Amino acid sequence: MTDISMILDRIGKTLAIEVSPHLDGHYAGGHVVLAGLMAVMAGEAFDGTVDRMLHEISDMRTLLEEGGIDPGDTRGTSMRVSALQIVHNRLSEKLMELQIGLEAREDEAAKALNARIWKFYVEGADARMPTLPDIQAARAKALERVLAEKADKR
Amino acid sequence: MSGIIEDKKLAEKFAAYASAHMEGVTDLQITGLTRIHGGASRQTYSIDMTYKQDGREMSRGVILRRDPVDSLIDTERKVEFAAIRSVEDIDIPVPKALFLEEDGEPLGAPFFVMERINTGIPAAPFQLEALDPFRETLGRQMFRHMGHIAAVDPAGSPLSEVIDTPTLETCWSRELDYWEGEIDKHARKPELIAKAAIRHLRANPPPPAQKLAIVHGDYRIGNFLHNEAGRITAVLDWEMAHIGDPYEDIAWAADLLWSGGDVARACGLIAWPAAVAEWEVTSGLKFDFAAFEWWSIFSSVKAVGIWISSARAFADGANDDPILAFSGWFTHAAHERILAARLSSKYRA
Repeated sequence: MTDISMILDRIGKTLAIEVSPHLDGHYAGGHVVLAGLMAVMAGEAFDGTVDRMLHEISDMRTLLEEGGIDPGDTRGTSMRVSALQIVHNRLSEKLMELQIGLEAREDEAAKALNARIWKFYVEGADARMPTLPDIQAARAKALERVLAEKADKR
Repeated sequence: MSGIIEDKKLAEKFAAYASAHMEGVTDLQITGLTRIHGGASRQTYSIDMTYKQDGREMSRGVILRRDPVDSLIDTERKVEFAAIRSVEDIDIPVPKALFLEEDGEPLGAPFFVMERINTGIPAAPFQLEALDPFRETLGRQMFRHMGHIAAVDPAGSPLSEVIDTPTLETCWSRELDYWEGEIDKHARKPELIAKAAIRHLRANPPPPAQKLAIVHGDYRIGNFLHNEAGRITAVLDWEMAHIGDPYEDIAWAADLLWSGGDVARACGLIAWPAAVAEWEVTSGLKFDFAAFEWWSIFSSVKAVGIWISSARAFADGANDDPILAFSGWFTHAAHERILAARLSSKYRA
């Protein structure tokens, strides 16, 4: 089975909703909820990270070229996230340098390009925002069930 | 009284320490010791004890805050202890500070102990709907508390004895320098949005502080207890307290992440005019939107600084608490989003 996103999503929800109530009141219970939430977030990220990073790399290259900065040759980069992150970091450093230069200028061209950099930041921040799964109601039901089972055993 | 002792060795060591430091106390027994989740800046334990004092049987609940190897927030426990002492006589509910121990020998790491407030539960920042029946009354209290804190004269306070006092003109730059330093020290990749926000703040400084004040540093939904009937029973988590500009507290409290993204209501609780009125009456200060706006953007930068430090501590293996990974991921992303949305509107061509 190679449906990694689905596996992480299901494991995460099982931990946060079904397992954590058995540890209610114990310090480890909080760890399990967070581990479960992050597994779900990781499942979402697994599917989308390469696509997001490629788009960001492409957008940064365009902004740098328009700002007169050579983005360097990124052809042939591996599609591993770790390899893409190295390229992303290098372009990010150059983008910061470009933006600092634009901020020191008063002309309309500089303001327009700076505005596009901010638009890129907004779009990137939106794309990186994980979806926090809403587990509250399901977990509350599971907790009721666990507490009822414990009461029956007494 | 929990009746559960999760760490017997710690309970024994704490009993020995408390016996030696509580005057006239004999036969001290630890009857409960449980670790409380969520306090990643300190290891936080709820402890129940019984003892005899002046011939009478007594019982008491306390909170032990012990330093971990690494934490969300890198501060000295003496600052938190002194901050609580600085406000214990004003009209806000704070737990009484009991012992401060900076030697790591008694419990394996420095710690302090405060009285446990037995009434109330923490409000969850991502479940504001649970506060629906009491939003306005809780909001009024939050802004009243922040006003009372702002009104304290920090000169001569216990807090002023353990940390530096800035000038009215340097409150903002001192805080911005500190948090930029934290971001630069702990960042694991270029922080484009945070650094652009810092440059914006430096280029557009706020007016000098109206007065020097004690700043709680982390008063927000999640860091107070309430009695589920509309009363705040304890203002907690004073580890980021310092002396500075009083706007810092209201801006931090109203940050959109813990306000449910609610721009119409302060802290997601109360209409802004009512919140400002409470704060002005209790602080004796005038609300200035320009100052608030600066500190509001700064709050999101400070938050990014905390989340980056958290991510670094987790990534380096200094602390495996999942809250650090969650903070370094989800909340970091959320504050980057807030900053990008707010600042992009100021740089439209």
